[in-house]
Formats: sequence, structure tokens, C-alpha cells
Amino acid sequence: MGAAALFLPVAGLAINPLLLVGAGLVVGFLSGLLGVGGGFLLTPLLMMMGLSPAVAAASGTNALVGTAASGLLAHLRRNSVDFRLGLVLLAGGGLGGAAGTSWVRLLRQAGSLDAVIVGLYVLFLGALGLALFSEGLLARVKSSAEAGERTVTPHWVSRIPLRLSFPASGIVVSPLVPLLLGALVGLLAAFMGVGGGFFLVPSLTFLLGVPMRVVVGTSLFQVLFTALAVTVLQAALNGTVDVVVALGILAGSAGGAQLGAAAGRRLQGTELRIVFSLLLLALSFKMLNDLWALPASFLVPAGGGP
Amino acid sequence: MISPQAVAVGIAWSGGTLTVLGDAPPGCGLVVRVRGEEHREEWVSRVPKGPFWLPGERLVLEAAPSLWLVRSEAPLDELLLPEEAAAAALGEGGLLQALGPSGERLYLGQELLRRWRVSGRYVAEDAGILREGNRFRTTFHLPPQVSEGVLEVAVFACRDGRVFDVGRQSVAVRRVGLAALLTGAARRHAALYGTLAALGALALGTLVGLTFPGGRVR
Repeated sequence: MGAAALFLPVAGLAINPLLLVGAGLVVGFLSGLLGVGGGFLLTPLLMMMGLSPAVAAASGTNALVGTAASGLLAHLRRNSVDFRLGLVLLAGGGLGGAAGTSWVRLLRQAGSLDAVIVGLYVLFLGALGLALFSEGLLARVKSSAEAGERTVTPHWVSRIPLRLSFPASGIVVSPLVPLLLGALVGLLAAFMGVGGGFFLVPSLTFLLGVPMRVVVGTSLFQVLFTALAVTVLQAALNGTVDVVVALGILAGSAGGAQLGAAAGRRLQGTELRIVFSLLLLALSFKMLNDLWALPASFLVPAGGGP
Repeated sequence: MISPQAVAVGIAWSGGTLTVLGDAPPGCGLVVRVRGEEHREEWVSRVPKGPFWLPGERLVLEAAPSLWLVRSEAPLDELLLPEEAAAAALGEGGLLQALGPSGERLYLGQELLRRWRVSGRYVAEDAGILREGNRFRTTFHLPPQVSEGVLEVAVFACRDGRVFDVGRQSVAVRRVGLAALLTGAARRHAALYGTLAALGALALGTLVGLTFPGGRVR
């Protein structure tokens, strides 16, 4: 390993710290370029460095706290956060995160965590990649973002009872819908170490009709607090948070986000999303291949823990 | 004699060495073994189900050594009778027997050893012991993922297929400095550690957000 190694106390292995900073740089770049948290890339990158899936997901969530806090500040300055909607999403996120953290423990004991994490990744990255790649969705996102117009809430969503007004978003919908969306994001955070921005942004836009200018800020609000809660739960229940990993990633992501933001100002949004969707599809294909290809070993640690 | 007498695993640890040197009676063959502490470990096999590889049989090891390094001056079957090597748990067969899997499950144990060999946790070599007269010297490589605890270093003097003398000494492996602080906090004060990790990341992210107010916002 050489002199430049860094020992990760919870992961129990030594790696070159430049790899962590590099991963943070890549994730931060994408975050600055595309306005997403980047957690969906972080866990597989950490797993490729040799971290177990459980430690990679938990430590990635810890790093997401910093990334989301930085992004949320920018949105607070622009007054583009719907706190009421964010709190409902958060309540759901708390429920989903708590359930997910307990299930992670059970799956670790059953030895099937690897397969579950990889399976979820394939499912979500593939679906998102295809969705972003479709011209219709791209056109809707682009037109909504540029014109600052609100997408209409689908009729069937409007008919769900217990409707509540969310003035900052200009919508009147049942809080059960954002509660459910929040719970799904909490599950994603616990299982995959992702903040769920890539899932929440299209869901809030097309399912609830929240205007694009409010979506990302509100999504980051929910992601931040969900990641905070999941980090504490993962550390307390599973002992899988490696703070050295999180710090290394944050060191890189700070600079990466600035580079990404600078690059984003020179490129068109549509081009960026197509590149992004291809990246997601490639990653999804790689992980699907890992699931069905002959494994490097037919014996894995039960739980994939540290 | 063993050098170093204690292994310190700090935040910059990336593996190390352990040198064993001493005197050996003339006319004997030597086997040197470094064994880590034993602990319970569970593994799961992956079996093909449809197009995918999914979890299958479970392998529970009640006393899995965290490290198992063996050096001998000659192939073990030349130095020791098979039953003697098994009794001293020196050869691969002896280790497998100690681990547990046998019969139809032997392939799981063999795969386990293959994995341990790749990670540096299990090494068996019939070379690397230097002799000058009665003096001998050998150096083991300790892998980056060496566990905390005590390493038992044993030197077996063999003659006529039997072990006629054994010398043992212990070496402590301890995490030190920041690595020890973080490991201890993560294990003994898990909730506090998690809270501080989350708040630390929050503070860093806020600091970055305040330092670089510009950013792409959709």
C-alpha cells in the first residue's frame, strides 16, 4: 500500500486517501453539475475500494449530511424550500429510515444484504437512467425549470382524502402521499446509503406537481435530516459508520461541487441530463452483471459487516 | 526474540512486519507459526438460483483465528508425520479440522482458506527461515486488516517426524492514537459517536456552503 495509506478504523482496512478524496471530487462534481446529492454513486464507488456494502452505505450516508447541508444553504438564500412539505416528507423519512435500519440488521444476519443492495441499485439506477433518457421527461423537466411553471398534480392524486395546503409549493394534496414518498426515501437511505434526491425530485414534480424551483431545495431539506437520522441509527444499531471515510469524501466533494457548478454554467441542461442518464445506465448494467456473473468467491461474510 | 514486541495500528497503518529470531538446536527442522485470537465468524455460500447468485448454505466458525501465518524450513510432510502436524494444527488439514467443516462441507473450508490466503490472513510457506549456525530468523508480513488482540508466536523444533520442543511468546496488537479513539468510540459509545459523526458532517457542509455561496440551483 505504501506510505500514503489511511487506516479506516470501522471498515478495518487501509486505503489510499486520494481514492476517497477522488470519489468525493467525482460525487461533488456531479452534485454541483446536476443538483443531486450523488449518494447513488458513492456506495458503489466505496464498495469498489474494498469496503463492505454495509459500511459503504452507512459511511456514504454520513458524507451526504455534509453535501446536503451545503446545497440546502444555497436554496435557503433563494427562499426555495417548502418547509411544511419538507416536514411531512421528513416524518415519512424517519419511519422509513428506522424500519430500513432494522431490516438492514436482519438482512446482515441472513447474509443477503449484498444481493439486496445490488438488486435495489440495479432497479433504481436502471429506472432512473431510462426515465431521464426519455425525451418526453427531459422536455417536461426542461420546460418546467425554464418557465418556472408548476406541473399539474395528477387527478388521482388530488382525489386522495385528508387534503392539506402547501402554500410555498402552491399545491393542495393529501399529506399521505408525501409521507409515503418520504418513507421510501428513508428506506433507500438505510439500504443503499443514498439521500434519495434522484427519487424525490421527479416524484415531487410529476406526482405532486411541485414547481421545479422548490423541488430541489425541499428534497435537500428532507435528504439532510433523513441522512442525519440514518447516520446516528446506523452507528448505534449496526456500528457501520466510518467517520474517516465520510471526512475523506467531504474533503473532495467541496472542491468537486465548485468545479461542477462552474462546468454546469457552460453546458446546456438537456445535454447534462443525457450524459447523466448514460452514466446511470452504465452503472446499472455493471451491477446487474455483478449479480448474474460467476462470483469471485462463492463464500461471503454473513452480513457483509466490518 | 520478536520484533516489534507490540504492534501499533495507527491511522497511517498499512500493514507491517514481525520478525522472529532465536536459537535452534542443531539437526532439527523449524516451523514458525503466528496465530491471531480466535473468534466466532459466520459465512454464507452463494448458490446459483435462476440467473442469479443468491445466499445459500451457512458456515458458522466458533473459533476462527484472525490470523494464521506458518513458515517451515521444508515442506511440512517432510518435517512432520501427518498425525503430528494435525495434532499441532500446523498444516492446512489441521487448520481445516480445527475450523470445523468436513465431509460434504469441506469445500466451504477450502474456499474459506482461499479467501484468507488472498487477503493475507492465511499464509503457509515452506521457505523464508534463514539459518546461520544455531541462529534462525524469519520475517512475517502483517496484513493491513490485522485484528486487535494478542498474536501467539510459536516455534516448533521437529526431528524424526515429531515435534520435540515448542517455544511460545505473545505479541499485542493495539490500535493507537486517532484509530484507537475512533474505534473505541464506535464500539463503546455508538450512539454518541454516530451523533458526533452526523453533526461533524453537518458543520463541515455548512462551512463549505458559507465559504462558497455560489452553486448551481435548479
